[in-house]
Amino acid sequence: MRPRFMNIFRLCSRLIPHKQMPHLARELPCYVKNITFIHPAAHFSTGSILQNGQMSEMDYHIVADETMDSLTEAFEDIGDTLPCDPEYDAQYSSGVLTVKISEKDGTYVINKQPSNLQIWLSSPISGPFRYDFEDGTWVYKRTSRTLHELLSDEVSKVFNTPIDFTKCSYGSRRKS
Amino acid sequence: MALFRATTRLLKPTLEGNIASTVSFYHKNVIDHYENPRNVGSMDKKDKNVGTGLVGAPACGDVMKLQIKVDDDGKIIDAKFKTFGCGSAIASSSLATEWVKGKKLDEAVKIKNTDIAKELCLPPVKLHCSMLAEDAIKAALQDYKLKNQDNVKATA
Repeated sequence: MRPRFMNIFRLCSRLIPHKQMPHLARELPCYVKNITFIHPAAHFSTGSILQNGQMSEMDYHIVADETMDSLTEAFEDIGDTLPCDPEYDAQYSSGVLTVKISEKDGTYVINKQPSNLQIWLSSPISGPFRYDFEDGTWVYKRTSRTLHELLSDEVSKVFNTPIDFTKCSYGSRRKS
Repeated sequence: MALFRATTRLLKPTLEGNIASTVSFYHKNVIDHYENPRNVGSMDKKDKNVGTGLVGAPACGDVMKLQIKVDDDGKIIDAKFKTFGCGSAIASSSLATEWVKGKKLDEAVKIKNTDIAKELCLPPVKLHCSMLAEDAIKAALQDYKLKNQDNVKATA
């Protein structure tokens, strides 16, 4: 209960620049509802459509932040434990994770896209993808392939050793 | 105040130096499309020969409208675009209109985002723009097909 409250509190301070937190916490549900109406163009977006039943923006940030932190840690671990190019670098800031494998193998860019409740990936091998949160993980709706499956496949090939990203937070489908 | 201005002037070269080393510049192909955009404009979307593709969302930062005019032989004779977005998005959609012109419908659907990205030398973070341009082409082709379903059925 407490950790969730702390997350909500953190998000409140991001959403509402006002200093009167407790007073506005009562009005928060209204404000959060209003946020979903700021995207009138979302219905012709190529991304996910905002509808009832989809995750709230607050939940998105909680889930996406944890996903990104976990991926950052995984990529940093690769840098520490596997033989990497001297140019190898993993940086996470402002919701954007940039992983430079090497000059030859290219750069992965994984970023949060809060307006669509998505996570976007740009892979030097397979190009751009947009992932929606579904079934406890991040799924590319056109092929049903998950973000973590793609990363596991591609990064394993680059380093010639099996690397499993599905062990990261929200890395695999929820077992029903 | 004068002291503040003096310090910023002293810091400016260092800041610019640091920024230059971390920021990538737009490729000259992208700048060319931005400064000399081809095929900017609109067509009458009610026209039966016009297919309109509208993709993206302002909240994401990119909206592309791509329109194609198709003649009776199924060849794209004209294309127009209007894009709200970054230089790479504008260049991607501008290039897309250049490429679809003169192609048949089934050839135009083969245009891939990877080709657009390669031609414009897009950096990793801008690959999404090329994907959006490919989606815009497909949406325009789809719209034209839907409008002319009856014609297709009649000739079949």
